[in-house]
Amino acid sequence: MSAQKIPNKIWANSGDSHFVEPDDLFDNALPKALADRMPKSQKFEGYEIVTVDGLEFRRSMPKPGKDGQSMGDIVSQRAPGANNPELRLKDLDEEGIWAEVTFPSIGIWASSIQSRDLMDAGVKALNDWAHDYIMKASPRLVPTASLSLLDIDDAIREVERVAELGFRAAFLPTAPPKGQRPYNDIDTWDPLWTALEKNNMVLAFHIGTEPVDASKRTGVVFGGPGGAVLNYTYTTFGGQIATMQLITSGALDRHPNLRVLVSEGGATWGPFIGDRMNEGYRQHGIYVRPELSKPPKQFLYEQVYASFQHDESAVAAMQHMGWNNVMWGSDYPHLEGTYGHTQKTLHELFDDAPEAVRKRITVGAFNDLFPEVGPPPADEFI
Amino acid sequence: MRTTHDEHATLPELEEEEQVLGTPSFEVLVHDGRALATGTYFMVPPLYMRKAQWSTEVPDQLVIIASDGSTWCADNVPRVGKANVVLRPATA
Repeated sequence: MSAQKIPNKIWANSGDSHFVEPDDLFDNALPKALADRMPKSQKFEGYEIVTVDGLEFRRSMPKPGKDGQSMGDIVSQRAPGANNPELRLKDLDEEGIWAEVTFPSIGIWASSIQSRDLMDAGVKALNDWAHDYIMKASPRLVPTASLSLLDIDDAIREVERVAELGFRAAFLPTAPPKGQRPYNDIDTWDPLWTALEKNNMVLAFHIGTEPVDASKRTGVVFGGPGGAVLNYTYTTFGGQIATMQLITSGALDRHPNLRVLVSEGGATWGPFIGDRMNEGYRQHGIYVRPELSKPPKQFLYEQVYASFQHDESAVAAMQHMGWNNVMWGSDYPHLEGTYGHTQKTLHELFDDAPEAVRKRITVGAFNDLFPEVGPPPADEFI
Repeated sequence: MRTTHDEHATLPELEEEEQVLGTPSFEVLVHDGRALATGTYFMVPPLYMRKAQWSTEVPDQLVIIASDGSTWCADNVPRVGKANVVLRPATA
């Protein structure tokens, strides 16, 4: 039973959106010798040849059904704002989205780059493009900066560089690239956490971004019956593991001003993971190192934010389980997102929730991290 | 540059399953007789509600004028409580 008036249009910020980069980004931004080594696709009848960093793969072309388009083509065509800021802002206005964090779409092949010089040049080109094309288009668009994690010193230098450009968040995959230590390795990662904290940049994980072995099938862990839902749900867990690694290794303890955003992975996992970490921290205390100044769940509740799209239980994670950092996200323009039905989704989620809960999840949590986007238009009532 | 099927036959091959979009649908959320919001699923371009009204000719028929000017409707829509209603194109 709704206890308050319901606005006609619910405005929300999005903690998870994407831009689709132009095909010729690296050709235009990098010397030919480097550009030629960036991910490229040649399409043939029924298959494509992908080359990246000296490797070459044959891949059967996706079969979307009747018209032979790739899923990437479909995403771009169904949402022209996927790669056009002007059209995008029109979509955002129609959908009721005020501001959004945008992640790159460069895709699975980036993790196949193993050459330090290529990766470093690639992320610089990508970030410069995001700065010129996205950030300059509107203060409502908050692009995340990509980093090369093949070398931590390179990553730190890029944090310093993009902070000067005005970036407020850095995108990290939910697991480090091949050859790097896991995120709970303090000696490896603490200098990067220090740089992010010092430069007031949000550490933004996006689920489903674990590095993949390009010689194997991508994004497919389960086959057979139920595979689609199994694989989709499985993508959620990487963000939870990365979060636990940061908390249990003491990274958030040592960096109290570092904020972490886990995008697209839902939110109800936060209270659950927090409880499990607290239980482990106390009941297995004899094995615990490093010791923390607060229970693990408290770090999660205070410094970690999470975005969700449709999840019915996510509102309860804030309203009834006390995690104040639950944030809504559209995942525009992706198929699992809310494009085309954002208002319906927001009404389904929030019409029965107290106004304070709605405003916290749709606006307030986002504005904790990115206050510079300003407030959305005021609620309108009949 | 390699350009023929045979030349590519020995490269590592990655399989992709058939990708199929979901079922197109235009739906409206109704609460106590008020059309609160519409949503399209797997429709290109998406449609948005511009006007909602109850039919004067068919009892409990909700009529929606969409952003492209098209008319959609649903029958037997409850006027009390909440309902998610799937719309269909209105016939002339």
